[in-house]
Amino acid sequence: IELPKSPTGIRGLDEITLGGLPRGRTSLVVGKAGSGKTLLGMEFLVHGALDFGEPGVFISFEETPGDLVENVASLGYDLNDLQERNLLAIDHVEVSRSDIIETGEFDLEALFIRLNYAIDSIGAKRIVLDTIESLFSGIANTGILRAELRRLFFWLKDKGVTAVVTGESGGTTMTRHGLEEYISDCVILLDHRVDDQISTRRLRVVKYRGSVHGTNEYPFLIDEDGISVLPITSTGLS
Amino acid sequence: MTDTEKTAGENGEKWILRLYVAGQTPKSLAAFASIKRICEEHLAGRYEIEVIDLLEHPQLARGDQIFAVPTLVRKLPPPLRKIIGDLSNTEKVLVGLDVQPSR
Repeated sequence: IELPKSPTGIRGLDEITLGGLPRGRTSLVVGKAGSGKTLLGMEFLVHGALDFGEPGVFISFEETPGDLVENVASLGYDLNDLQERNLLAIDHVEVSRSDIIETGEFDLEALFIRLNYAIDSIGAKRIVLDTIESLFSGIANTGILRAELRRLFFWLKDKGVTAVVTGESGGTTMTRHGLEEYISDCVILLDHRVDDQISTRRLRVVKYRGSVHGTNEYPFLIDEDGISVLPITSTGLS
Repeated sequence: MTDTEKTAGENGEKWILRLYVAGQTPKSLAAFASIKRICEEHLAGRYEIEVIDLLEHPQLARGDQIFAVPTLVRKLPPPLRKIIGDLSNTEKVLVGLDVQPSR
């Protein structure tokens, strides 16, 4: 049987994934800064709330709520309105190592509590964690951090929310801190290249467990309507 | 449980500390015992430790940007400082709180 899917509402993406992201599972969206991963996550939540009756939570580890509202306002999304209607909750988790000292054992239970509180406050069915890798710049003890990230991804599955986690592309590994080891259900790679002044954006579904999907690279655009993935494979274009 | 000391210390500088925990876990209890001992030794009479259990007050985690447990926040004197962990290393806690050891 085909895996249940959570439609993203992003033009073209639901076609190449034959229905959207794996429902109740965690998907990883990888890309460099400016590749569109934050926007992809936000659109997943906005369409979820407006088109599919699924409220969403956006956990931002970098951008402030004000920036997020502003960045998508030009696309016609009113995040303040969505928040007032309890269709969206935003929590900005600031992790700056400058004013934090670590001594002895700790865990990230407070992060779990914040996510749980945001999810339960609006009965969210979707959640985005935008660049959870910022935790690596805030926490020195990576042993504890990796164990807690593993626990977090299991917790998200138990919570039954469809999650999108974004990660920075790495040099040798797919993501800078190897998040791909923890997330095995669905991995999407966003690429943004500029070759002799022509800027091309490409999306590739690197992995999608239990589902057929277009494995090619698909060009996509970001315009005033947001992201649109062009179902013609980029190989077909050249 | 709030542990308040009414009288201000010699130079009157009042220390306000806030310890965030999530239930009575061993780490949290150890953290409270450590900070209590350190304050009695170095800040006697001029400190206040407020313990916030995030299981009971989840919405309070955002205010001080708490993501780890236990986390000790020095609210006063400024600037805000944070220490994460069971506070087992006294020297590090003293440095983290910027406390001049009293002896």
